Amino acid sequence: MFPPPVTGRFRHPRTSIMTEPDIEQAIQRVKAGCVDDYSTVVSAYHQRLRAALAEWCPPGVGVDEIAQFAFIQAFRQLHRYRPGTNFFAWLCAIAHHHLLGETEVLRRGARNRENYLQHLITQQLHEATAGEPELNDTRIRLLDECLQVLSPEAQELIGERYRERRTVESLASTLGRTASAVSVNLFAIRRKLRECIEAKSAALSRGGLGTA
Amino acid sequence: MNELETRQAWFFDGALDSTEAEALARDLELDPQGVREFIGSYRVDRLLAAKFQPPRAEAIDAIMAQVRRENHPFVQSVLRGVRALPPRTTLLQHAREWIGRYRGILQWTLASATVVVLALSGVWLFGPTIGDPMIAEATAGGATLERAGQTLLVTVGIRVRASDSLRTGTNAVATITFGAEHTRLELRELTELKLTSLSRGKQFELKTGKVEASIARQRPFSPMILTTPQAEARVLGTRFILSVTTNATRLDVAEGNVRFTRTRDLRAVRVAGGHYAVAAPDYELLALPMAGGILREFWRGVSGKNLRAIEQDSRFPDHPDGSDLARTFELEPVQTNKLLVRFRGYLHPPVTGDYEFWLAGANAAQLLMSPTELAEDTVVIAQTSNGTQPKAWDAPRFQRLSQWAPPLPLVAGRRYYIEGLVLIRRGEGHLSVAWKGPGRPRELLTAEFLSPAEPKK
Repeated sequence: MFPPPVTGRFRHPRTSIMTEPDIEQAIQRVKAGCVDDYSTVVSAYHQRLRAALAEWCPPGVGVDEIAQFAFIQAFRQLHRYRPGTNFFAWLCAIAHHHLLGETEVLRRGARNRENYLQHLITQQLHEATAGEPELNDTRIRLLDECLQVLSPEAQELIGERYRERRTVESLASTLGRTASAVSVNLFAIRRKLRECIEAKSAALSRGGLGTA
Repeated sequence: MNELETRQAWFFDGALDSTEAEALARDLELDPQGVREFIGSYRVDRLLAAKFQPPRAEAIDAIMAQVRRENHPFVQSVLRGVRALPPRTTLLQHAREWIGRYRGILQWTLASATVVVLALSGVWLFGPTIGDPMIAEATAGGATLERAGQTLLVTVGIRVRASDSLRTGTNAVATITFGAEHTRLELRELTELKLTSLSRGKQFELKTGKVEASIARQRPFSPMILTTPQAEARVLGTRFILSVTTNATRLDVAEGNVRFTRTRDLRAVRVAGGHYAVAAPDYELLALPMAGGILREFWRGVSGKNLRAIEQDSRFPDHPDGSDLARTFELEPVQTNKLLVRFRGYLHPPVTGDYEFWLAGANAAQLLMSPTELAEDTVVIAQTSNGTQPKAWDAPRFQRLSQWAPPLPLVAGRRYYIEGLVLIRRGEGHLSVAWKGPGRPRELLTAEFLSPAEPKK
């Protein structure tokens, strides 16, 4: 018998955990002309920025495109960055500004094409984003906490749907249920997660005000 | 759950067609609380997607590529040049004077240019890529259409709508065309294809079988997308074949480029014309040349008496005297002496199952194979020491055992490194490799299942 196949022979060292001083040093090296060190900065913040952006991007606006724009803009303006200040917050601010422009364009386009659902989503997200003082990745941490509260079956279903990107039809055939039933189940789980995140978020802001 | 919630559930699972999407928007418009809940669920959906789908390596590579481009000495020199220009106010003053002088001509030129640009944009955006999908050809009685729970017999001229699933039976084919647009999708036998959406480009789901596609240029930012259980193919205009088996999706591109994304980990590869890629569990995602055949290299004047001794030759293994591409795993009988011939390449099993191999060769010959695509993992699976007649894969008993490699489990969609060696000391030399797999009789290994290894530089 053959041994198990060899996979993943090469892995990009993007998953390494960087500390803030490491990142600051990388930024200083980029400023000094070592452009390749910018990959350290990008790798360190890319997933965080995507998480901060994810829920604000309507269909038709790619998280990766906005993130790419933010990183490129930050690189172009790197001479303005003051060491020791919050680079991630700066990135978020650039991304936030660009996202507002993109959603505005999309909102007009959706209205003109009479794509009502996209118009509605974009309009709502545009208003909500515009009212948001700054983007951050707090809610993804709250989501992590809320996922832990779900039943093991619900966690598994969410994992299959989002991690494995399985369609409801495929899940339905595995579970021996109809696609519609799986869809309804997923909807209920999302609702539970939404309520949990909103409750935690409200508690967090109350706590924040209390300590201020 | 009420109807509104059911529609929302379908929206998040991509099962909502454009009519239902419109109905959902209308219902939500009348229900402010419903809108808040819908947007809340949308945000959770996006958060889940971001949490579970790690950033693609290509996204970071794209950022770095642009950063490096912008830092290129040429770009820097242009920027320095731009910065060295006179102050903007002076330029503006010059521009204003110039515009004032030629205002009339400029207005006419601008108006004409606008008309031309608008006309060109119209052609570009709404040109030949707006046809409705319909069945252009179908084997009578051999294809069916699933629509809203009903099964319809496919006939030529029937329109295909979003959420329709098209199925072809044994020996049946069906072709979808798109009006004036030169796009064709040919469904081969035993294929199931679902049209999932037309609202943002043509989107299909290939559940099983094979589709041969010839795609005309698609509207900008609205590529045609074909998803399978293992992958996604994204195209703007090209010719390709997409095939799905139970555990693998294979893309063969004849012309143009296709972005092929493996669903499991969102790794993507751009597959150019003349190349193919496979998305399957534990298989490396690569765009590989389709050229069939196996690399054949030779060394003249080899002094060693056996295959072990030739390793003393400094030219072996990296400096052959010549090489070519063989269409079969075979060296036809040739009169020569002191010649070493090596075949190197990859074996592509068409179906998953057990395969047996046989070797026939003059003098000393060996067949080596790797359980992976790595040459370093090769082991000798068959050999001859005293030589056999050409294609005599069933030599006398005492030799037969070493000529034959017992069944090896191979997986369709993967490629396996394979190598054959024959040393011809004097007289007639030859080598041939046969194989036998699931549903396939013993036969000479041919180019259809082989691709060449890259010659050493």
